[in-house]
Amino acid sequence: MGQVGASCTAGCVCLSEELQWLRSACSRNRCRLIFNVCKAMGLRVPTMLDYNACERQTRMAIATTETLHHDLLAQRRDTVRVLNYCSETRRAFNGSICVMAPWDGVWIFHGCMQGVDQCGDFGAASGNDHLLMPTASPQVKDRSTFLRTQLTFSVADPGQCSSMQIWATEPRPSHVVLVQKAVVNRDNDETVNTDGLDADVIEAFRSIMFQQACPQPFFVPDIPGAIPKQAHHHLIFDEFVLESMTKRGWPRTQGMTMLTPMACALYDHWKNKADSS
Amino acid sequence: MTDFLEGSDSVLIPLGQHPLNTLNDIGRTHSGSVVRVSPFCHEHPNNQREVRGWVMDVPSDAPAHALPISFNLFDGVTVVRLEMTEPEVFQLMQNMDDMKRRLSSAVDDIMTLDGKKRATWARCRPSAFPQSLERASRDNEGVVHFLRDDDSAGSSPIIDSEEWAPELSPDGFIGLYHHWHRSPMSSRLCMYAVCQSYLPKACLEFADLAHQVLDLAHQV
Repeated sequence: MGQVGASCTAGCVCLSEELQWLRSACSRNRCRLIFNVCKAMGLRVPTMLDYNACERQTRMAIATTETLHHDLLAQRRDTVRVLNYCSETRRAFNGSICVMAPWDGVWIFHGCMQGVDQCGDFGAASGNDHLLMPTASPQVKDRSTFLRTQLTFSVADPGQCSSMQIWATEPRPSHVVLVQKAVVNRDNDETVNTDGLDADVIEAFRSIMFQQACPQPFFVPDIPGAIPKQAHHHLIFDEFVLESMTKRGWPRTQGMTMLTPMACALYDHWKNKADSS
Repeated sequence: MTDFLEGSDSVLIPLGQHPLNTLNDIGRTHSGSVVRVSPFCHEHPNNQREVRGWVMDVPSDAPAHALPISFNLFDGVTVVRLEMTEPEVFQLMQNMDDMKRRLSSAVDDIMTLDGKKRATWARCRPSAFPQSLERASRDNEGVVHFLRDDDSAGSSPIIDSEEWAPELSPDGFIGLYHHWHRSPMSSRLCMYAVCQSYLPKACLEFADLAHQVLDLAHQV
């Protein structure tokens, strides 16, 4: 490489074996993590052999869909494209993932559903369109800056969310303002369309979700000191934001799937636990 | 100074001077580059004041240093739908504390890297591959040549030379999620596993490698 010097171009880097290996290894890493966790928890997950692994019997989960926050791609017309927290719809093989606040879950924006009728399939690439989708909900430090806009933010200390609380420190009630349970329940009603389903099953589901639900959304009054310094402010993809996306070309009729968190292990929680011990 | 920027006037979250300067600096690395700003572009509130939500097009023949290579390249999210029946999902939901405890234990094992070998290119590089950035050289006429392994190029599977342990990266997470899938024909409660991570050491190694190329190019 030292001999290459100035002759090493962006195209060379993009097509280099190091980069291609890294892309594949990062993807395999996530699939292996999911496989290992599911195996340890006794959960059934579709698996395959990791054919690129040195150890031939290494298994990994089969990804339903995948989206990258950071990507480097060789484009047509001799261009290299760097994507930063954006994904292109034309490359999405099964929907585009957008990570919301930990307590809000993960959304999957659907691609073109033509010819797709299987449950859980999120649609194929949207033709030759170059739509850019967000891969994560934007976070801001101080939402008060945006009070004059129509944007809404979801806020919480991640340690407060019950479904996240795997390694978190003990809750500090003063650090979060919880909504009334009735409000939580109404929100759950809105997200689950129960028409035609067994009433007992739905009641059991609601009961479980009501008990386990994160207190979302978090309505925090604009009182100085009401929001902890460590709080995370995530943009809520409400009607205003979705409408803005539609105006920019996102075919809203293709829909989206909102995955609700049951339990989630955050690296930050583990780190906090390790640091404190 | 927004010569290299497109779309900065249509962002949802107004950009301050710092992110605008950062984006301009990124675009300025090569005259043929264009930076487009996503409507969701923003300054992430971390110590690095990272600007997130943009796309950059660089000509393929631009010098390598025109590429902004981050230390977490290929950080991403993978979703896997589990093969669980509805009664099994309900059962898990009714024993949420037990599920959290088992998830905690499983991830604790993953996070304990003592004695485990981390993925790096230097250690795990496949023994056969058609092209190499590291083994490339330039001839007297300035043409770049990649060394080829003729025994394996093109057809053999690309197999790591060493085993490595999977890692959960900073900012990463792994969790269990559910969703009611509704269609005119049926409805079903499905369970998903979601993981966000990259390989910290291998990604940092690649960023270092790219920066070495950058430094050499500047020296030349």
